[in-house]
This record gives sequence, C-alpha cells and structure tokens, in this order.
Amino acid sequence: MKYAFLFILLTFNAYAISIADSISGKVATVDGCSNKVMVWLSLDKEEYKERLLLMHTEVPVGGSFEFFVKPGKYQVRASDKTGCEFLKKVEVKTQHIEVNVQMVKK
Amino acid sequence: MNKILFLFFSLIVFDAKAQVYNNCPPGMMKTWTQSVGFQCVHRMAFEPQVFQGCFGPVGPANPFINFPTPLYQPNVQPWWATQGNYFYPNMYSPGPWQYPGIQQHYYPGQGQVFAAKPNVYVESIHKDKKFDFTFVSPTKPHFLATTPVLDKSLKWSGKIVEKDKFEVDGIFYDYLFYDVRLPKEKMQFDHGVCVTREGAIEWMMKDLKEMKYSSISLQDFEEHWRVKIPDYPFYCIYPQYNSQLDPILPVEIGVDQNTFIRSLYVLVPHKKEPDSEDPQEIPFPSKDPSEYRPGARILRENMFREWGVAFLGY
Repeated sequence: MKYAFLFILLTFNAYAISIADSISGKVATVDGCSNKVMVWLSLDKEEYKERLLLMHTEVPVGGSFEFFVKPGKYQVRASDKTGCEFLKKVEVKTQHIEVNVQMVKK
Repeated sequence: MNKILFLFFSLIVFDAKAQVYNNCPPGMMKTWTQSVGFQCVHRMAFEPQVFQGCFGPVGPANPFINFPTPLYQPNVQPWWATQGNYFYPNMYSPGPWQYPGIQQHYYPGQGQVFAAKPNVYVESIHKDKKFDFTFVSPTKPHFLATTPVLDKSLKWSGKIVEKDKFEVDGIFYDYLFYDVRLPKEKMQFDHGVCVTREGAIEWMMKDLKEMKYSSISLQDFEEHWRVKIPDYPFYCIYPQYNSQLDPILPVEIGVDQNTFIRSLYVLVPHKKEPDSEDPQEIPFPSKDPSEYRPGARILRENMFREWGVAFLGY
C-alpha cells in the first residue's frame, strides 16, 4: 500500500512538472556561407501546414544554442542569408540531445 | 481535343498554385486554410508608407497622383522571415498560435506568460572587460531557449568586447538571448496602453528610446517584431519593467559599475476596437505606464539593457 502511494505520487509529480529536456549544439559553416545563422526548431512533420515553428535563434558561427522541449519528434533546421542550409530530425525522449549544425552550400 | 484542353487547364492551375506555394509578392504573406488552401494575403505590417518631403506634395496637388504604382517595390522583410515563411506555416506569429495567444501545450514548463526573445545588450566604456551574468532565482526558471548555452549554474561568462558585444567561449555575440515562461500572477495589468498593431510597435520603440536603448538594439527590435507580432487590428500593451521582472527572474551581473534596465511588453491582441463595456479576461489598462519606467539618466561604466515581448499562453 505504501509503495502504491509512493508510485502514484511520483507519477503525478512527473506529469505536473511537465517533463522537459533539451537540444543543444554549436554552429559550424564553410567558406561562402554567412557568419550568422538562424537555427529553427519545429515539429517534425512532412506537411507544411503541420510543421509548426516553435522557436528560432540567431547564432554566430562557432556559437552555441539550446532549446528546451517536451518529449517528441522535432526538426532542427538552420539557414543563412546566402542560402546555406542544415536539417536534422531528432526524437527527444527523456535525455538531452546534441545537434551540431554543419552548414552546407545548396 | 478535350484531353489537350484539360492538360492546358491543369497546367495553368498547377502553375498558379505553384507560384502561391513558393512566393508571395512583397507586402503579402502566405496563409493556408482548410477551405481555400494556400493563398497570399496582405500583411498589416507592410501597410504602404506615406513619404513626405522630397517626394513633393501629397494628395490631389501631387502632379504624379495619376501615375500607376511602380512595378518594383523593395521587399522590406528580413531574409530570415522570407525563408521562415517558406518552411513554416506560422512564421508570422511568435509560436503555434490560436487567438488570443500561444498554444502552450507545445512547450515544457510552467507559466502563462511566454516571454519571447528577451535580448540582453551591453554598452560599456571598456573594450575588454570580464563579465558574468547569472540567473539567481531560488527555483529553476522555465527556459525555452538560450543563445549561447548557459552553464550548469545558469550563468553566461566571458568578456565585454568592442564596448558593445559579448565574447563567450571565444565567440562574439551581439546580444545574449533567452526565451522563458513566467508566471502571469506576478505581472502587472493596470498600467499600459491599447493601440493599433502599428501603433503598438511605435509605442514600444518610443518607450525603449526613452530608456536610451542603443540604436542597434532598437533596429533588432523593430526588425524582429514587425514580423512576429500576429496580424490583429488592436493590441493592449502591459509593460513589465525592473520592478516586476527583478523579483520574478532575478539576475546578478558580475561586473563593476553596472546598471541593468529591463523591459518586457506583454501584448494582448483584440479583434475589434477595445471597448471598456465588453467583458475582458485581462482588464484594459487604466494607468499611465511611464511612472514605472526605469530612469535612464544616470549612466554607468557598463550599461546592460534587455528588451522582450510576451504573449499569453492558453
């Protein structure tokens, strides 16, 4: 009985706090790309209308970023004004994920 | 014959759809609805500007009044807005949006106020000065994003360089950035103003100028929020300054002779002109916000200033 109560309490707490983890990384690029990059975080959806943008941040090349997220599937995309790009799909469960952005020319 | 006509018709329709899908003309944005699909609609952010001065008289006295509008008009959108709109359907809002606010179930943490993009800027008399900037709340804040990454003690540390930049881990940043969720209960909703969308941007810019924000920070503010404030005709603005933000999200700055001026504008959209007789979830502001505004007359060696805009989550 005691353990059942403890289990319920722990379960309730976990949901009340709203489990969060993060995706972090650094930005690297190649010659001919810009020295500032916009890093975008969205839901991982193929359909345009479902691919909701959650957050974005401008990061200088060599710089770092971190997004705090709920468990789920996401797309980390990066782009710059010269047209260089990066895309990685990730699934966050309950662990921190590192996504290092490597820009490439289209 | 019928097949040829059908093919020709299909090509025209496909081409028109492809054009809408890829691009909208300057001053318009791409939207999607269940009934119509993709279409280009006018953005409120890019209402035609009335130029005066060297363009001569405005109105019937203008001898060019009957000339057609120019074929080319400069696209005033920043590059990232055009790209973002290509990838995402909700580029022109601060996150997944459903009137009157952000759909909070997409985000972790707690707090009904979504403070989007507080940017921290510095102006210093020093070209090379060590600094650290630590969030010192007794409970861990509900961050959504940071640039650069905070260390485990929720601290950015490095040097102030070139008088107005931060160097962290050897990389220069024009500003420090975070998104965070904050408790609505600790915000003030008495002081503020209600204006049109365009008026809201102008009001906030003027307020920041009163607090002597640097021109680069004002430029960043205008560029970002002209894109990211959703298209509604009216907004009520509830400014939160140091007196509200310092207790909610206290910060310690480890550098001598510093001042930190904070300003976060909570925006509540309205589909029609605010009417005080209509019931409101958030009361209309009734008091002048300027009495809470931090003074900016005393300058110190190291002036830190942050701006942000927030929306309510539902």
